[in-house]
Amino acid sequence: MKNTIKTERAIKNLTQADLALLISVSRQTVNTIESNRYVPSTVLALKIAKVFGKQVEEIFQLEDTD
Amino acid sequence: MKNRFLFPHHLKYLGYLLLLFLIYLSRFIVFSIPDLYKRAIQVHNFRDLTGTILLLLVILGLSLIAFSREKIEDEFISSLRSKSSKWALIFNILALAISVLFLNIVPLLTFLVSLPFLGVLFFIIHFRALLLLSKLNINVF
Repeated sequence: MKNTIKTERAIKNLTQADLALLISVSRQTVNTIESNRYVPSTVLALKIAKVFGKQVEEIFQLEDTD
Repeated sequence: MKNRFLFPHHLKYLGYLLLLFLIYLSRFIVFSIPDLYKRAIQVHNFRDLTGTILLLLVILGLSLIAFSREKIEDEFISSLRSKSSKWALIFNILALAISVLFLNIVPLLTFLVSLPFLGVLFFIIHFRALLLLSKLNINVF
């Protein structure tokens, strides 16, 4: 699964730490999600989408290998 | 995400202190898990509670280190925790199988009484290693 968190963060001018604070996780967790090393739960994905004011599908997309 | 089955974060340091204290004590008392069991079993004959108390302290120290919350205990940390517990279980089963294959009865029993402690120790090392690797951005997940 790929995601556009990095781009969305840049648009909103948020650091990983800012985003982490907004969704109540550690900066490390945001980093692992952003670099596709950890797939977040539905709850966390919804929280991330809410921060950016977008639909979950706009931020997270399935890849052919999924 | 709330995990109700973990100790508060600061108790982890108490666990480390407890184990350091026990390592310090081991300079004065013969100190191995099987030996402590022996002492604990002899309680009824000699009214010597040293073995029982020390064994309980080892269990308490290891549990506090293994099962204390991280500073920020989120779902990613929980996933690492469950991964490490699965590996610890696999380690325990393999160690059991290998010891049953290769050890005679006395060393086997000596090893078996230490096995649960080794399992928790394996869990702690594996979990800490995963945390460290994730901090260093190394992909092992």
